Amino acid sequence: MPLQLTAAQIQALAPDAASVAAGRKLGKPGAWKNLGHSAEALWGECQGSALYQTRVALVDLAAQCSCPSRKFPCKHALGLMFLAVDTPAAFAEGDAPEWVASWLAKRGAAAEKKKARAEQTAAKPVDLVAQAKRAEKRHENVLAGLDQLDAWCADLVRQGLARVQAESPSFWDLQARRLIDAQAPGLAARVRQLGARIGERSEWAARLLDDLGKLALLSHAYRRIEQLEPALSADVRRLVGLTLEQAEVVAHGDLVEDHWIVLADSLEEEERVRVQRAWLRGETSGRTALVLQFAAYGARFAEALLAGTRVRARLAFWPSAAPERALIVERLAPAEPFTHAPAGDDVARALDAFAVRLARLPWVERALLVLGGVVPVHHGGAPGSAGPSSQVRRELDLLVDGAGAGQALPLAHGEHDVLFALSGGHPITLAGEWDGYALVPYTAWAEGRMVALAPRSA
Amino acid sequence: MSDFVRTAILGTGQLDDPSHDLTGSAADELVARLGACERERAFLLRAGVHATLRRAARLPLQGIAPPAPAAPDTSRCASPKLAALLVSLLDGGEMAILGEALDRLAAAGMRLSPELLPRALGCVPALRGLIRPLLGERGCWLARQRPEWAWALETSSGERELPADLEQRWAEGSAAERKALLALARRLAPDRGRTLVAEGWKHEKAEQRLAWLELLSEGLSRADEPLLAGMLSDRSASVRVTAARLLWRLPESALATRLRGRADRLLELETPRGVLAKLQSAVGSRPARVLRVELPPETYDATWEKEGIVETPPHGAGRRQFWLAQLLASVSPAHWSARFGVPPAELLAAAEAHELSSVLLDALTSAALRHGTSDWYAPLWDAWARTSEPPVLNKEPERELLLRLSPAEAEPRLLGLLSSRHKISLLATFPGPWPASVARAVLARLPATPSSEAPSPGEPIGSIGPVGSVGIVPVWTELWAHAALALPLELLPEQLAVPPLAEGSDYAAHAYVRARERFQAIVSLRLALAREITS
Repeated sequence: MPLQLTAAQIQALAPDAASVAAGRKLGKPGAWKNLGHSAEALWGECQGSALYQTRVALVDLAAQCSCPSRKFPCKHALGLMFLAVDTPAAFAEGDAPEWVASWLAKRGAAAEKKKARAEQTAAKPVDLVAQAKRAEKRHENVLAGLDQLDAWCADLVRQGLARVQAESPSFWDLQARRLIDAQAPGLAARVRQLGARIGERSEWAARLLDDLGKLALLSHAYRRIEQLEPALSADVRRLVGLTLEQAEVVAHGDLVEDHWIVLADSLEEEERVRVQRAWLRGETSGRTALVLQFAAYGARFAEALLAGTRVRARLAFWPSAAPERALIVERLAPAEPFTHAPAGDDVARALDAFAVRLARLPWVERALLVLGGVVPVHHGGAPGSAGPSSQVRRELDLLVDGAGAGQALPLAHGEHDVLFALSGGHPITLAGEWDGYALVPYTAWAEGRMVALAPRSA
Repeated sequence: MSDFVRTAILGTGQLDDPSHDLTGSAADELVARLGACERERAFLLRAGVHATLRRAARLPLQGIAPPAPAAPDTSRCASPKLAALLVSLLDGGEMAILGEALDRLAAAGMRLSPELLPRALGCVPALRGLIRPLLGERGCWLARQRPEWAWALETSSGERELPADLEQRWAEGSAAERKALLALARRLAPDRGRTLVAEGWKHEKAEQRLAWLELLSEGLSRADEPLLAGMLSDRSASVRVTAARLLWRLPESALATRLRGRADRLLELETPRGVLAKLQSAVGSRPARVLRVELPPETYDATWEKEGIVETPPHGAGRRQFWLAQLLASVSPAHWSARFGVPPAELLAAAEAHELSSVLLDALTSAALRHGTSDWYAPLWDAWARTSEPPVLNKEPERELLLRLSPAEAEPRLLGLLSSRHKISLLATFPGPWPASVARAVLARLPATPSSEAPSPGEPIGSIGPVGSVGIVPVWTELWAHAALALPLELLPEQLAVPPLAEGSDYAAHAYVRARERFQAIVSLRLALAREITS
C-alpha cells in the first residue's frame, strides 16, 4: 500500500474546497495512466488540457505536477493521493521513471544544500561589531516604542476602559502601527488583539484588563532583560517580536529526535493567511511540540502534519523557559497512520501542569491538554448547586472526570454534539487547547476510533 | 464585578481614592516590592500578575455528576470509510443514493457511527424514517440531549404513543405543531384526531381547515362520516369538495351510496342482440359486450357541488362529460367488476370501444387510484398505452399507475417503454432498482460513443434516434442520469470498466461526455458504499 492515510487526511492538505472537489473527481483510475509507486514516491500521468505528470514524495507528501496551476498541492496531486487511498491496487510497484527520479534527486540536493547552509550559518564568522551595533540600534527603537506604549496604556486606565468601548478598530490599529515602526511586531499583534476583546460577549472589561496587565508585565520584563535567565530572555525577545530565523532555531535550539504522534491539528484563517497548528507528542521523550505553519491562500504548508499520523523526525525547539514551539528539521521516515488513544491526565493534573507552565512563562496563551477518562456533560448551572457554581452562569458544556470526584472543566462555547455522540456518557480521551478559561476540543478517541473535532475554517 | 475591575472601567482619573486599586491577591504585595512607580503603571502590573495568578490557580469545578451513560450497542457500526462517504451525502448529496445506502445499512443490521449521529439527527424530515432504525442506543441517548431531536425517540423503541398532554398542546400549539399533532393522532388514534378537528374547526381559517381535512385522509373510517358530512356546507368551496371526496372513499357513506346509485343508472354493460351476436354465440364464442353510457342532465344541479362534483371543466373538456367523469370517479371500479361480472380488462375493452372512451378511461383511473383497486392498475396502464387521447382528470395517469404496479406487472411494461420514443422518459420516473432485464435493455440502448448511430441491432433506429441529432440529447442525458441511480447494484461494476472519453467537439458530443462522466461518478459512489455495507 503506497499511502497509509485516510481521505479526510488528504482533504486536510488541500488549499481550498474547490481543490478538494476537483481532486476527488480525479481520484478515479480512469483518469490516470502509467500509475506507479516506489518506496519514496508515487506518480501518474493525467490527461487534462495536456498530459500532466504528477509525483508525490511519500516522506513529506510534497508534490510536483507539470500543470500550470498555482495552487499547491494542485488538483492532480490531490487526485493522485485520493486514488492511492481509495484504490491502492491501481499503483504498480516499480522503479521511478526518469521524470520522477530526477525530481527526487533534485529535492535531495536541495535538502542537502539547506542543511549545509544551516551549518554554515552556525559556523560562519560574522562581523560581530556590526551585528552588535545593529542589535543595539534595534534595542533602542524597541525601548522607545515601549515608553510610548506604556504611556498609552496608562492613559487607557486613567481615562477608564468604558471609554474605549466605542472606539473604532483604527484606534487599536494606530497604536499597533506605532509598534511596528518601533520594530516590535510581537507587541503590535498583542495590541491588535486588545481591540477584539471589546466584541466579546461577557466580561470583556476583565479580559481586556488581563491583556493590558500581561502587556505591562512584558514591557517590564524587556526593560530588565539582562537580569533574566537566558531561556526566559529568549521568550521575552520572541514575544516582543525579535524573532529567530528558522536556521538559527536549528542551529541553537534543542534538537529532539523521536517518533512524533500528531495528536491534533487545526486550521485557522488570520488576515488572508492560513495558520496550521499541529500538536505533536514524542513517543519516547514524552515532549509536547507545537508546530505552527503559515501559508498564503493557495499555497501549501511546508510540512504535512495530520492528526492520526506518526512521523519519525528530528525537531528543533525554540529556546524558551517552557519549550513548546518547534519546527521539523528533518523527517526520517514517511508518516504512518496512528490512531491509538494517547495516555491522558485527569482534570486536576492537567490544570496543575498548566499552572507549572504559567509559572515558567506567564505569557503562555494556550496549552494542549490531553485528558483521559473524561465525559462531556450539559450543565444547567443552577445557582446554589454543589461546588463553585458562581463560575457557571448559563447553560454550559463541561468535561467531567469519569472516575474522579466529579471535577470538571468548561468547554468553549459552541456545538459539541459530535463530542457528546462519541462519548454517549462514557469516558473518552480528549486533546484540546486550554487558555485558562475554556477548553476547545481538537481530537477525541473513543471505542478505538479517533475523530478530529478541531476548527477547520479554511 | 470586583472593585479592581470597576476601577479600570471607570478610570483611575475619576477615582481619587487609590484604595480600590488593589486586587486583594498576592499580586499587590509582589508589585509593591518593585518600589514606587506611577499609579497607573502599578495598577497595570498588578493586573498582569493577578491575571496570571488567576489562570494558574484555576480549580476544577467540583461535584459535577456525569450523565447516565448510553446502553451498549450490539449492532455493527459503520466503518470510518463509510462514515466519510455518508458525511458528504448527509451534507447535501443525491437523496436517492443516500436512501439506498441507509436502506442497505438497515438491511445489514448496521448502525451509524457516533460521529455521524448529530448530522443524522438533524436530517430533513423526509429521511427520518430511514434514519431511525440506524441510530442504535447511542443515537437515542443523543436524541435526548436536544428537544429538536425528540422525533428520533417517538417510535424507535417500537412503542408509539400520543403525548399525555395532547389536548393542551393542541390548544396552545402553533399551526405547524398542530398539524404534526393531528397527523400523529390520526396515525395512532384516529378517533382522538377527529375530536381535535371537530373542536377546533370553527375558529380556523379556510387554509388551516383544508390542511386538517387533508390529514383526515389517514385513518379514514365510517366513524368520520358525520364530521365530514357536516363539512359539506362549509363556507369554503375547496373544503366542501375535499370533504366530499373523502366521503367518496367510504363506500357505505350516504354520499357514496347516493352517487353510486346515480352512476348505476348511467352505465350498463349489454350483450349485443344483433344477428352477428347470435351467430357468434352459435359458434360458441361469447360475443363482446357493449358498454352503454348516458350523460348526466344538461343543466348543472347546484346540490352536486356538495357532492364533490365541480361545475366548470378544465379547458378542452365538455361540461356533461366532465360531470360524468367525476361521478364515475367516485365509485370504486371493483363495484363494476362485481355488478357486471367481468374482469377489469374486458370492461376496459368495452370502454375503449365507446365513443366516450377517453372520459371513461380517465374516470376509471381516478377511481382506481382513489380506492386503491390494485387489480385494475395493470389493465388501466395497458389501456393508456393504447390510447392517444390526453387525460383530463389525471395529470400523469401512466406515471401514477406505473409506480403502483407490482414488480411482475411492471417489468414487461417497462421493457415496452424502451421502444416508444414518446414514452421512454417514463422510465426515468420509475424508482430503482430496475429489474435486471430492464436495466440490461436500457444499457444496451444507451449509445456507447457520441457518434453511434443505431442503439443496437434489431431495434428500430428511428425510435430514439442517434445521440447526435438535435433535440434528442436531453432524453439520453435524463435517462443516463436516472440509470446511474436505478441500475441494480450487481450491474454496476462492469459500468466502470468503460474508459473515459476524450472531450467532444460539438455540443451534442460534449453533453454526451458530461452525462457519461456524471453517470460513472454516481456508479462508483454507489459501489463504494455497497462495498462498505456488508451483512
